[in-house]
Amino acid sequence: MRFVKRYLIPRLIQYVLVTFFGITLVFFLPRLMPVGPVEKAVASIQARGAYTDPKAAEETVRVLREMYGLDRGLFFQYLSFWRRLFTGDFGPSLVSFPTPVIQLIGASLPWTFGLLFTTTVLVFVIGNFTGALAGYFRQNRALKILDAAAMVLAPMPYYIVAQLLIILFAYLIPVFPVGGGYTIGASVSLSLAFIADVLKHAFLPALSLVLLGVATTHQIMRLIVQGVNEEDYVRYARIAAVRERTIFGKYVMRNAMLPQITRLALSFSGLFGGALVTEVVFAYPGVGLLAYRAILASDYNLIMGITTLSTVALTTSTLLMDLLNPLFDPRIRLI
Amino acid sequence: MWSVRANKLCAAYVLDIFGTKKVIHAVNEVSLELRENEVYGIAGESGCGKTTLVRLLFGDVQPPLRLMGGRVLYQVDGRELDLYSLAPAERRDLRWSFISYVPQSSMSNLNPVIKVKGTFGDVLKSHAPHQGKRELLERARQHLVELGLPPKVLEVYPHQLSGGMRQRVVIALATLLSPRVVIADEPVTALDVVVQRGVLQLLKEVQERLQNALVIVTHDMGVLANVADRIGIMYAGRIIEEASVWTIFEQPLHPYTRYLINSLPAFGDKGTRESAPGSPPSLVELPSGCAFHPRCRLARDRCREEVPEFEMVGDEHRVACWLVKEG
Amino acid sequence: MKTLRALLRDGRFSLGSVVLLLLVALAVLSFFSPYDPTEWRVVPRDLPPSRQYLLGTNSLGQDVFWLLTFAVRNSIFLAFLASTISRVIALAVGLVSGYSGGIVDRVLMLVNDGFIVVPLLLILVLLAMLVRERLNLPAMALLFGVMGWAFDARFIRSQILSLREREFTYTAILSGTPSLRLIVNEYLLFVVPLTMATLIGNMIWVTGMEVTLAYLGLTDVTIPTLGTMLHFALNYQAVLLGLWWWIFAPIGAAVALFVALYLLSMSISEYLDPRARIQRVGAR
Repeated sequence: MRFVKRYLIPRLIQYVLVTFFGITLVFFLPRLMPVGPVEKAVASIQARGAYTDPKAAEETVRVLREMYGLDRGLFFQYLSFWRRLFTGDFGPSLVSFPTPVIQLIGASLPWTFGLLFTTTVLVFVIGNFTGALAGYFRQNRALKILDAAAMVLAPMPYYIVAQLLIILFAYLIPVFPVGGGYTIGASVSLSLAFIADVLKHAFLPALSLVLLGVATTHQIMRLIVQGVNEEDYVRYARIAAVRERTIFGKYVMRNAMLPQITRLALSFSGLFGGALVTEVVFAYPGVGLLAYRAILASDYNLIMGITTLSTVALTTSTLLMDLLNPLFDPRIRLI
Repeated sequence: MWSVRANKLCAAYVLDIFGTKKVIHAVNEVSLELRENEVYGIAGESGCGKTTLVRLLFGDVQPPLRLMGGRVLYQVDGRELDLYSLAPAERRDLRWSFISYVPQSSMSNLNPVIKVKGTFGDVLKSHAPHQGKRELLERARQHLVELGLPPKVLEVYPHQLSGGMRQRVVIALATLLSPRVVIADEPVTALDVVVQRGVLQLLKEVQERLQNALVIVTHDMGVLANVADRIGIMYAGRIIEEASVWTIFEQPLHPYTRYLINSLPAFGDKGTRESAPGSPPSLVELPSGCAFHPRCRLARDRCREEVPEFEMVGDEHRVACWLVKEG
Repeated sequence: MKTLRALLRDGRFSLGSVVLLLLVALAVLSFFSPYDPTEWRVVPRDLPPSRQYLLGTNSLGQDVFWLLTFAVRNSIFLAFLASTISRVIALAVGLVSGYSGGIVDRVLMLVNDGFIVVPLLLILVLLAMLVRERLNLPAMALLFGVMGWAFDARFIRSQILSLREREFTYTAILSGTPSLRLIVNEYLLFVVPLTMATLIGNMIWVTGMEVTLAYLGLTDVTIPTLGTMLHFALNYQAVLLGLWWWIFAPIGAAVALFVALYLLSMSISEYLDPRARIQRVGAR
């Protein structure tokens, strides 16, 4: 009961407040700009209306104006935004009118999920493994080389690594496709050939994410393990001649993993926002690319949908992590 | 019967701070002897090399700490062993079974994510690899009962114990294998005064039960007054006076020892206490001659030039001071 | 001076400063450029590096070397300005929040967490798209400054909180020091060095974001920065056409800038607080 009152309830309240405030920011920030997002969308549709069906364009504009209450005040717009949000309605996409936004996102999610889930897990396992070893066996030569590699790789801007991979493995040695999710024209099915095709297309984007992710995780984990290694309980166990294997596993790793599990939970929240730059560079058909296309086309509904969803995803994974943490750390269990 | 002998031990920390080499002479030519069934106190201000000396006695020498000279002898079941010529595996085998260690009382001597019994099990398992889990646990429980501690503490996490109880548990952990020598480094420093007494009492009780050697390292002479049999006073990496507890408190010879005794509060005392002026010297650049001379009111020319020998001046009473030697 | 000497003994710090100084020297050269960076077709097109054109020329008829000097200058200027703006906000929020506690702290941290949970890249991309035509350097700096302070405000607050627990605060409060003076005297002096370390970390973030936005074509591409240079090179298929000097000039400069700043921030935060290392690397 004390746990519920002093740990659970405050976190639930914070979850609600932060989510509320985050979404509010998402709503207002664009409106602080000199050009409003909806006006921009209207303008771009009207411009397009010149060479598409003018009637359809006019219809879209009318729906938009009505939906957002453009003729009314900002506060009214804010309220109606929330009202629609609670019914899970982000409205129709403006570019692919009248397909609902939620449907477009739903179609892109599996691609992003597949790519990001795999790479996140790989990064977690590999990065923490090498980082822990490097932090524990500080004198090892091979691990020092690994440290140096991580040191150079970690601060590299992502797109540069991605671009280099494309230059190397798609132009110079063309073993992988330049981009896309699958070969254009291939029939989408669950056949082995199609799956192999998808994997081949996902390889370079995954590699770019894993390379940089492992480098960063390696560095963080190395520092954490070095820190834990100096803790009193590790020194004491070592003085007491507890077996080295036990010290590494039970004393160092179990404590060093606590902050890393937190980080893992946070990185899973990226599953909903997609990896914008990755997907754009590799033309990978996930949520990130969808967001980018939406931005270029001023598809306001779609942008708001994706941004709101990823905000909620981040706060929710933070909450989940807070709820899971007591399982790993007994100090939180009994406050 | 002696258990541990140190002979002219010298050790230093060799540090490399942003490219500058720094040598800290933490222990200089220390010789001492620990005997069966005695409590030996080591006292001195912080930064005088007490903890380093303990690490040397224990064989816990890792960079940046380096042994520069001297020997440590253990007498194990009638055999004399030279600690620093033993193989690492042999040295490990002596830990806890022959010599063990009670660290400074702090929040974090026990692994926070496992229950207390886990830590006990790990220590036992490492020294008795063939015994079963249940057997080991039973042994730990029995040991706790012998020391008058509730066996329930095995079932909880360290953060659920109070500071005093945690230190008691650590003492139980350190004496699990009935070691012949127990070294306690500032065992009660972080505890409040009432709890201090209980923890000291437990240490003393265990020592009486095992009839072994107990070393208590502290900066607080008051802690030693009631439990120690002999006391060595450390200053700037050297033991400068050593005698029975009675002699140290009633007839101290070294001016530094006198300052230490004088600074202790006594009942009904309202006057101000005189303590040694200044602070301990930097171990990087020790003063010439007797390291205490810059703070000593009675210092003479010779004190500034020559290091005084550590010499026997009476029954079991050794001191390193020119004033004593020259009268 | 003593601090600087101690830092210079660290190999990473000296390497980082040398590289950064070289980049700054490159940026200063832009003031002596014979060409206007916004003009096209001032030199023959697509020439490889030679004595006359040190880094060759591009398909737009610009001299890559002189263009690079402007790009480096603008990118460093942008990063510095944006980070300074966000440091001011972070410092103010962190100090006030950490010092006052209670309801003020809660509200400020709610705002703070709000900024942490929104997907920054998406929002920045969205905002940049809305004002693309007017996104000159100061406007961009303002944008990045307003969006990039939340992480470090939390960091500064936590430092203040741990500072409050120390004795001198109690002594100061009990002896009646006014709180404004307390904030300035006791806290600011302690927190400013830490803020300097976060400044460098934030400059890395800003440069990265600028290149990302330019890469996606969402900034004013007429202003030469490392990002827009890369944008043009990629758009004109410099890779396919084999104009490697065009694409490697901005990439090389960007990597040099990133590595230099990264080395500096690692070294400084390690010098200030060995434990801060973890937080620095951990920040995104």
